[in-house]
Amino acid sequence: MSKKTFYIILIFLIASFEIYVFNKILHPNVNDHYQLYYIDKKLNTWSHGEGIQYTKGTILDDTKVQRFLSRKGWLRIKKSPYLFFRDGASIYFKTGPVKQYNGILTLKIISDEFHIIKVKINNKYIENKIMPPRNTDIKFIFDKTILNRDKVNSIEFKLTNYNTNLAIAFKSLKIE
Amino acid sequence: MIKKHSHIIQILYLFIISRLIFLIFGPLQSIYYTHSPSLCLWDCPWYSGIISNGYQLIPSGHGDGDAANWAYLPVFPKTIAIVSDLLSVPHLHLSVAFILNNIAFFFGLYFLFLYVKKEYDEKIAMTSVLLMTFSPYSIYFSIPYTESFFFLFMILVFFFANNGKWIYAAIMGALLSGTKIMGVMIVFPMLFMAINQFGLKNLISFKNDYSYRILLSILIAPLGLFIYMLFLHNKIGDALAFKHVQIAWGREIQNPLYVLYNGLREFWTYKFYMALASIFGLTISFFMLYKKKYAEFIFLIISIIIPLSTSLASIARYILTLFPVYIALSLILNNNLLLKKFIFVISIIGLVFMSISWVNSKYYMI
Repeated sequence: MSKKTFYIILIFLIASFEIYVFNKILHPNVNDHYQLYYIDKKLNTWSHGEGIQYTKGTILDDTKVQRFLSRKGWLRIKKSPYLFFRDGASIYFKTGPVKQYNGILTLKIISDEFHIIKVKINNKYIENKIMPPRNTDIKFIFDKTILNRDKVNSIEFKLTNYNTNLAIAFKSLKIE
Repeated sequence: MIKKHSHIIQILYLFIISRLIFLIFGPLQSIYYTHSPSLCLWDCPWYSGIISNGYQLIPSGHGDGDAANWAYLPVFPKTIAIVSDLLSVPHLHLSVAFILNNIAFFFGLYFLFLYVKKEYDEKIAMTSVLLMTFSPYSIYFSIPYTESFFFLFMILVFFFANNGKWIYAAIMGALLSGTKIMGVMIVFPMLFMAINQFGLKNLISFKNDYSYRILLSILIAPLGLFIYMLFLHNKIGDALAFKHVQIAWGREIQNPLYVLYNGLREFWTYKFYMALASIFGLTISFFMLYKKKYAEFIFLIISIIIPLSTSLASIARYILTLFPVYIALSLILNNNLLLKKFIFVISIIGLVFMSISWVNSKYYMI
């Protein structure tokens, strides 16, 4: 075998190996929690074994929702008990293979300013609301038609026509 | 023959004196005052963990529990683990790391001398060795960090490629790319050196054996990182876990100019100092470009810009452990004996300062 042929065989073998590894780079085999936190960089907290599995019937208030929150869009203000959101704020969770889903998402109005709140669940707008008076709650109710049973669910919060980020706060989420 | 040996002996003297300075002002003074010398700090416990227990399956490090040892490439810790096992002293792996790192540093200096001597002359070669040996940042070549292995493999790539031994250079490149993430960038200087040796037209014509040899070398050089990525995919399911886990160190892609600007705004802080080190590194890079040392330039510029695109943390260490920096300094100081002496004295003071800082766990040593 000539030197040239030997080099060509080696080049072919090594290039094939590197293409094979490139293919592995493009197709990670990880769980949703890892994907959201490390690869997509969407999740705020790495919560080990707990992950983003939501247990049916649990009330997620601002003290329990931390591990489901997106990296961006949330705002905690010192001395304020509320968890505020701004553009891009999301909650990610998995429900598991349950048959019935009835969800109630509750937000709290903090100021009197005029706002339009947009809530998207899995990229579908469920409701737009004009803000009611201060210190009242807004409830968004959704059912099984909108949630994924096997994939990650996302709830995205958006405010339009706003002057301040401190107008509306997340209060709770409950799915049963 | 005697002259050839005299160079090794000269380098050995420089090496021993500089390491004694580090030992006396670092670990030994620490023994005297605290009775517990500390060499394994900052990144070192991560390597120690890999040597003892291998790679983690689940992240658990740092306050948020999201850090894992995947960020640290395997050639250095696995070599230490193998040698410790062969010597039946696995419990003394940090001492083995200390010894191997110093041996690697010494041989790195010797090959630096040979490489620079061939490229320029003996005087510049010895000045480069002198400046690198007594550099304040040379303490990283003695402690259990990857810098020493990285330096040895990097200079061997340049040395072998410069002597036309491309397959040896490629094997050293593969070891380099398995030592630090930045090592994979060695393919670019290798390409420049190949073009310099054979000409671009000749290389891409593929009429000669050397075109295939160069292509093969360029493919072999990143194999260290590719093998590690396959390992990570099989163990964790993510071939890029070493990159993705950087989130635990707060390293995210940003505009390097923005990072640099932010550092310069924070006067006399750690960030400011790191920003100055980056500017120094960039200046040295362009000096090498001016000197038409394209391979050194490309490696320096990549080695500065990529870390600078994430954060300023540790950037002085990344820059001041790269050998082309010391070749450039030697060229700059070549005809100015007074300045050379001044820089040498400042370097020794810096080495003493860094040795004391290391054993006292100063945050800027990270």
